[in-house]
Amino acid sequence: MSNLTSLQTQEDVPLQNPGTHYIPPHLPPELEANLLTATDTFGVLNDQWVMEYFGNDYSIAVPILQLFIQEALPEVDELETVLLKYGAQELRKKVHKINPSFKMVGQTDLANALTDLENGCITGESTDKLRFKIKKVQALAQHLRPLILKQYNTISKLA
Amino acid sequence: MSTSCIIVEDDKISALHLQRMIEQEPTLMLADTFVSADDALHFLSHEMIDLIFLDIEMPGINGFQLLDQLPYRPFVILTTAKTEYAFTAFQYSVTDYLKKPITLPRFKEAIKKIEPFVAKQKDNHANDIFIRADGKLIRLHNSEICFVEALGDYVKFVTENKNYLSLTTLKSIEEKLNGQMFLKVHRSYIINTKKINDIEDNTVLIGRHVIPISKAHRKLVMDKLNII
Repeated sequence: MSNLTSLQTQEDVPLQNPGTHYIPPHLPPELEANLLTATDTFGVLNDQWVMEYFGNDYSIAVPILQLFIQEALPEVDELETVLLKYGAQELRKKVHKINPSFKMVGQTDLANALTDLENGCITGESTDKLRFKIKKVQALAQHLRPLILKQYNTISKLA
Repeated sequence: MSTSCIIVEDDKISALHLQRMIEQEPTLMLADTFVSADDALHFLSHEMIDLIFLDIEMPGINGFQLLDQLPYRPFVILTTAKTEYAFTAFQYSVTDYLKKPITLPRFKEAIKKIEPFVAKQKDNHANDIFIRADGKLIRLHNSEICFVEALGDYVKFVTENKNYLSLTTLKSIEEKLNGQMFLKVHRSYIINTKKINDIEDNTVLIGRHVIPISKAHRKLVMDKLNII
């Protein structure tokens, strides 16, 4: 967990111009760009999950969301490779492992799509059907990613 | 009184979540976090802990296989994303079963549930000591131990039936033994006062063993024993 420790100790940077978003310095540049165009069409900026899983303690929720953005979210891009290279059983294990993290940070739509994919692996659905479900997860993740980053941007100031 | 615990969890985010919740609980003391059951098993073969937060599906051996191989049975709280393991969990007599992601109220409820059991177990263990000897952890009841002798880097536990050599220090053992029953009589000896046959000059006889009482400890020994 050494990378996490280094992230947690980074200093907050004050807003340069009121009304603009503070962009955390440790996020990859391609993700930072998304922050400026994000809109909350899915209502993901609701932070009910902070109360449910972290007792409204943002000092716990923020590093969890950071780790989610760094570790769990990119795993969505690897799902198809896992299916094609290692098969449905390995895909199921991977989905099973990452799914709770999505719920933990309030991404229930994505978590439900992942559950559907995991169930497809368990019931032996065809590779084509599983690939279709993976595409669905990835499309949803792509849409939500900037909003999740925006949410991180918002709550990191509350920690 | 704190409850020592470890986390066995291969998902970094779930592990961090648990770590943070444990840090908020004053009764819990996190000893370590393991990403595989194999690593945890290695740790548990050398260390005694009270509680395991245990995931089930992990690379290598799974959570249930870890429980099968444990040298002793701490309290176990299973943490898993699936409810399908509930029946097996019941068969393993785990203390609680938390579905991931774990909500804070549910976590607190599990900790509250476990506290009286841990307190009771610690109370019982005040009469026991676990020692590392012969490559395993061996439980010795206080009443079995006649005396403990320092031998270089080792400590010898002398019981009525068998002796055990353990790589530790007499000081460390002194802290763990029941102070009501055991007494240091020499820098190299701690004796079980219930096992004393007689005391003569500067020696104590326990069974056929003659144990020296040092000048420095003599007064303390005499004060402690119920001498008329």
